[in-house]
Amino acid sequence: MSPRFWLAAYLLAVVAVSFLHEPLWLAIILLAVLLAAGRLAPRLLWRALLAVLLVNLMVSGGYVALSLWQGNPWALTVIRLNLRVLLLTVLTLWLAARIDLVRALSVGPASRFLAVVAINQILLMRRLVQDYRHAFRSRSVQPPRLRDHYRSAARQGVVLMDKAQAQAESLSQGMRSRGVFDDRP
Amino acid sequence: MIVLDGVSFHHEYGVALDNVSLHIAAGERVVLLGANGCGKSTLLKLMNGLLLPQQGQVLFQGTALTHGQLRDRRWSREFRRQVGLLFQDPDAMLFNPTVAEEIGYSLRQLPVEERDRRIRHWAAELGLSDLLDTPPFRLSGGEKQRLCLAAVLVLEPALLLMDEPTANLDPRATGWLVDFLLDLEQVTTVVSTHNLSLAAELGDRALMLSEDHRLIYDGPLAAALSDQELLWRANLAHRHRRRRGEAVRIHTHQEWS
Repeated sequence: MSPRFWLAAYLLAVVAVSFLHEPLWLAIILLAVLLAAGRLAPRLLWRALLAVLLVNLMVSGGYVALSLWQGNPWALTVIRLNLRVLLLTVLTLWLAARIDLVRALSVGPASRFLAVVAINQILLMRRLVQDYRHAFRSRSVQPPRLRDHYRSAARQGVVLMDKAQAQAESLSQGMRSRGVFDDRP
Repeated sequence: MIVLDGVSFHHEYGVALDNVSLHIAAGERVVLLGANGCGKSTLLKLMNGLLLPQQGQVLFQGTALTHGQLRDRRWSREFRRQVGLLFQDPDAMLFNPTVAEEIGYSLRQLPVEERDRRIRHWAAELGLSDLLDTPPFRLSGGEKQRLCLAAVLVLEPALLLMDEPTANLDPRATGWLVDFLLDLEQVTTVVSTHNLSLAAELGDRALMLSEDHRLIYDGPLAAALSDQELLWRANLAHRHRRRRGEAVRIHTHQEWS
């Protein structure tokens, strides 16, 4: 199967999952996806859990607190929300692990170019994040406190945004200088 | 002090280091040479216990760096205190709200007076005394690099690892850094660079990595810098044509910055 087929299948699956509201079905599909992923499954599940943990905890906690305060039921909604986000994340990670995204998005020269640019940005950011995590670990003689984690994460966020902006700016200047926007009115 | 025994490291894109063995004794000043992407940063991170090799082992004062060993809090604390790593990008290391807090980040186990004394001492040593209340992100590139150095040296490490410390510095800041490192006599240093014009000032012993990620030279720095063939092989020298009037001849450079 071609990368484009898998990309189309993924997009269809995302739309289908958005229409499903029954937690049991979401759980069954999640299990089926994990079974289909074979030996990749444990790693996919672990990475997906790590990716969604913080945001899902905050959103679920907030929803539960608000529902308890207003006396509304919350369990079904929280289970549905968490299952759906986890399923979509597993699907996305599975797609990224399985196909060459550049080839999948190459429907024309412009889309291929944009895919390469986007993936380059992602790879650059990933390298920077890894470097920042290493530096934080290297400097932490004592186990870091919550405050240190917060400060480090906040600073990383700002620096990454600055670097992404600078990179995007030089990239667009490079594209302009090579005539990419010349056919615009 | 630190030993690498048959160390290989692979990342997802391929080999980063291939079967590297070396031994660095206390008091040595080592310069790690190699072209971009040959594995210099990976080697320094392995020595700092941030990465662990897939093959071979890294030993610090006779103890192998392993997941289990680094999870031993007491040992790990002492290891982090004794081995400092200066990252190439100063922004990777700075996250505290003021210069003073940045320098004192690793010292919270010390009594307040001792911590303040050390912060003031290292701020003065690195010319940062007037900036103690300044947020690090407001500093210039050279000041950030000095702050990172202060943040590492405040622990008084026995082994200082530096990843391309002059890469982001202007000529004046570079000169200052070289002078500062020359005066740093009690510390074993490993400095990575591909700037051969500076290498001679940074140490006495050279380790050279080739582009196929192997250690191709371990010996006196002066001999390495005068071996054109070796530098060419490591992609640390370049050749080009030079026009002098009517004559065109091949000219070899090893000055690289």
